[in-house]
Amino acid sequence: MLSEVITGSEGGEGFVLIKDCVQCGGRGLLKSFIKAALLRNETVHVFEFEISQEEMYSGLTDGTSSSLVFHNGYTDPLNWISNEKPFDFSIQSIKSQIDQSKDKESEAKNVILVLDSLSWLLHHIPITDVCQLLQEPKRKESTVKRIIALMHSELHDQGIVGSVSHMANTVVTLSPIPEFTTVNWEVDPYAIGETVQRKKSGKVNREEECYTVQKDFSLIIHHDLHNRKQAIPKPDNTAQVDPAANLTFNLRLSEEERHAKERLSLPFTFSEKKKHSILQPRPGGGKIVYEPDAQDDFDEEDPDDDLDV
Amino acid sequence: SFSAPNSIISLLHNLSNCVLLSESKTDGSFLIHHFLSFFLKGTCKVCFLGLVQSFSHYSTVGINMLQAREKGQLVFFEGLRNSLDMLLPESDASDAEPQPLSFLRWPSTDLRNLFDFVNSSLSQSENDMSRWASPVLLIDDLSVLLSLGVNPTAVLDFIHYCRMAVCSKQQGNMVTLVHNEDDLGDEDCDLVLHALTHQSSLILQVHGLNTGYCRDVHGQDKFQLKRDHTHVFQYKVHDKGVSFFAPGTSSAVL
Repeated sequence: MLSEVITGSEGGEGFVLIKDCVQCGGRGLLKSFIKAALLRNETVHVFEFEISQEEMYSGLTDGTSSSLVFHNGYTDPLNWISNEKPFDFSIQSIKSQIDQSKDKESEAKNVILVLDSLSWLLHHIPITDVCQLLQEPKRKESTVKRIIALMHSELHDQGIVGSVSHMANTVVTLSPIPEFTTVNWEVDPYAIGETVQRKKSGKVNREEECYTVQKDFSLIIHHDLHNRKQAIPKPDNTAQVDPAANLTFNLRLSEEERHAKERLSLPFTFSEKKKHSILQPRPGGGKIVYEPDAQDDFDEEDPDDDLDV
Repeated sequence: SFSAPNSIISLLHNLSNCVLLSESKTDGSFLIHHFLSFFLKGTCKVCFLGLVQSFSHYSTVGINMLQAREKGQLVFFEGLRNSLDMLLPESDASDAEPQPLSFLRWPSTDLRNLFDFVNSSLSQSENDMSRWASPVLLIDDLSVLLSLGVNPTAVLDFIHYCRMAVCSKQQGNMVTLVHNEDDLGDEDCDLVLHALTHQSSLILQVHGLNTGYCRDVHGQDKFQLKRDHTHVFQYKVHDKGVSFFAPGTSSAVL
């Protein structure tokens, strides 16, 4: 399913979100999307905030393709270096920059907008503005047909990640490959991508695939991920170690020793036998004899003489 | 001592790299000493933001900081002394030059002045370019900026500009030390650490042994080269440097 989303044969319109994590970055996949669009001769506007132009172009294009329009938000987005030509990354500016290079001959929607990364934008402009931009493909008068954005999920609150994901037509979530010990892959798998696609009909398609992005940014899908997952028996890491083994002294009990231990009564438990050995009961039990003195004024109703009557 | 970590580090000479050092439950500053010595010996021009220790702290047997500074090879920013000057200025007319640590006094929320200091220290004149190899920025450490109340986005913007100016524009190297206390739930620290992890090409995670203090093995260091495999070594810090060895092969054990 991931390949079809990239080639645009399925889920061509709307907003595609790539969510990566620290263990597996999503830029390779993003470049894979860009490469596929360039091969289809579509106009791609890349708004780049995280890497240099050379790094973005490397492997993708030699810079001569007119269908790739690069907007440099990396070198000086906050205007710290020079006061000439400040890079305006407000939403209005992004839209006008795209409209300026609109192909005047065709009024149809044909621009693919790439945001690298959405995380950078979310840290610098209000989320409401970002959401407005992400709605562009839905607007009839807009030239933007598709938005592809890279987002680093650990850099935001879960609420923000959830809201942005909800706005997307397709969400690709990357996660690292779980440890496989005895599998030989022809090509090392890079990450697991879970693609969730929301169709206009309301139907949701979901698929999990293991993929690798090649040096030329074409995609390899490793199809037998699930079979390989089940074939590996879980290694027993928690073998119980007997602490009484391999000692120079004996900690174990023989049968008689165990019986003797269970029969032993502890010092302060109160059994009949103990009672007999400590107390010496006389026949008739104990008897208390009280003879009041002459001065004692024994009042039955106030024996302690402390009532204030 | 094991040669593999040194061969990984020596890759830094030829590529422009953003290196992240993260220390967890231990003191990772020995790696700062290691890199400082490595780059000074490699005749690189070094800008060192020493925010947590004094100048003399870093001068050890292997590193002659005074000489490097006099030669013009090393620019050392002494954060402790500068912060005192900022907070207790001797004269009132202190607005003449923008101060690198201006965020301590004025409610300016960004680290632009600190970046300007780094940029001007490392921008190579014609004379410089013939004398020194690629420029290097060392930061010890970044987490203290968060402790001083700087917004994590401002810290990340500062790192963004440093990376652009040092690594992208001048093909130099950048080494940043951060604290990693993931069990504290400090969102700002986590945000900075995760963002830097995304941006760095070499990540060294240093942490103490799970079993506690040991005289012969001071801790464990995980080297991670982006797009490559992870290597784990254990280390012991000496007076003159540090030795790395494969886990379980400390000379005290073998």
